[in-house]
Amino acid sequence: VAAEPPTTAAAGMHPLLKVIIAYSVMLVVSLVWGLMSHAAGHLDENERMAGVLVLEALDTVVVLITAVAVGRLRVPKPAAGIRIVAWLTAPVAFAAVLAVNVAYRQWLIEFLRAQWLKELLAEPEWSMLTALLFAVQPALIEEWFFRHLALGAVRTVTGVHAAVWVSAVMFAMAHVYNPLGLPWLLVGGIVFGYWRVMSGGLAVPILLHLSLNATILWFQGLL
Amino acid sequence: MSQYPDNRGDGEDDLGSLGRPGSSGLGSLAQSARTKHLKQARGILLTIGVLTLLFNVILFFAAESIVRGQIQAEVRKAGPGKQFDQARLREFEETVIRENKVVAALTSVLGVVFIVLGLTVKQFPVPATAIGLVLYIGASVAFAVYDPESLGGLAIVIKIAFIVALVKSLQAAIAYQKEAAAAAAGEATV
Repeated sequence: VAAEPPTTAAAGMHPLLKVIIAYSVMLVVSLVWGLMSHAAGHLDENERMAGVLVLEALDTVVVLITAVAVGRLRVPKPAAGIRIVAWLTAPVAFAAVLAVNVAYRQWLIEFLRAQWLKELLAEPEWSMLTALLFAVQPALIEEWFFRHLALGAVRTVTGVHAAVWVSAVMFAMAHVYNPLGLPWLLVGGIVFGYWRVMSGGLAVPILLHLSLNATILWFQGLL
Repeated sequence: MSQYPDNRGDGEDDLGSLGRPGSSGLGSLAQSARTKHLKQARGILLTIGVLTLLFNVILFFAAESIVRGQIQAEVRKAGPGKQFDQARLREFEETVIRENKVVAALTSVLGVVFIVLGLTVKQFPVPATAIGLVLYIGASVAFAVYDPESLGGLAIVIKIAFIVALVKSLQAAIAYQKEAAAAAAGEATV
C-alpha cells in the first residue's frame, strides 16, 4: 500500500516540524479554554457551545495556516483494487469503531459505578448547531489535519504503519479534554488512518468520522 | 565506508561537506551530533517513562488509603454535629477510589509507552521521537487542564527543557532517516 513516500518540495523546516508546531498551538488553545472554564466555574449549555465554537474556529484557522506553510504533500495513491476494497469495507470499519466506542463507554460507566460519568460522556442533544460543531467540523478539519497533513508529513520520512500510528496518537492526544476517552480515540485514529491510506484520499476517513460522530450524537439525543 | 572516498590519499580528515553525508570532517561531525541527540532522546524518554511508571504504580496501590484519608478528613472537618448517610458515603468512596485507579493505570501505561519508545529510538528514530514528543506535550496539557498547579514553579521550566530536547531529537531523527534513505537509494543505483 502506497510503497513510495510522498514528495514535498518545501525547503527549510521539515513539514513534520511545522505540523508539530501547529499541533502544539491547538493543544495550548485547548489548555487556555480548559483553564478559562475552570476559572469561570459551572458553564451553562449556551456558554459551552460558544466556547466550542470559538475553539473550533481557532483550530480551523491553525489548520489553514499549516496547510499553506506545509505546501503540497503528494501522497501516492495505491492500486485501484485496494481503493475499491477500502470503499467496500468502510461500513465494517464504521461498525467496528462504533462497537468499540459503545462497549468502552459502557464498561467505564459500570466499572466506575458513577452516574455523573454518564452525563460527562454524554454528547449534547441533536440540533443543526451541534451537528455542525460535533460532527461536520471535526470530520473535515481533523481529517484534513491528522490524515493528510500529519500522516503525509510523517510519511515523507517513514513507512506507512509508522505514519498511521503517529497520526493516530496525535489525534487521540488532541482530545485532552476527554482523557478517559483516549483508548477508543486511538482505535478510531488507527482505523481512519489505514482507510485513508488504502483509499488513497480523504473522502473515506471524512465519511467515517462524520457518520460516527453523527451517530453518537443522534443516539445521545434520543436517550 | 564513505560513499565519497577521500582521493587525496593522505589519510587525513578534511573538512568534509554537508553535501556529502557520511564523509569525514563536518559530515561526520553532523552525524555524531545527530547520534548524540538520539541518545539524549533515549535518556529523556526513559527518564520520563520510569518516573511516570513508578509514581503511578505507587498511586494505584495507595489510592484506597489516600482517598479514605481525605474523605475522613473532610468528615472530621464538617464537625460531629453533621450526619452523613454511611451507605452513600461508602458508595462515593468506592467510586473515587476506582476513578483514581483508572487514571493511575492509564498513566502507568503511558509510562510503559515512554520506556518502549526510549528503547526503540535507534530502530525507529522518527516514529519514536515524534510519538514521544506528542505524548509528552499532550500529557502535560491534559494534566494542566485538570490541575493548573502542575505547571507551576520549576515544573514549567523542566517541561520546556524536555520539549526543546525532544524537538531537537526529532530534527536529528528526520536528518538521520533521510540520510539512511539516501544511502539506501545510492546503494541501489550502484
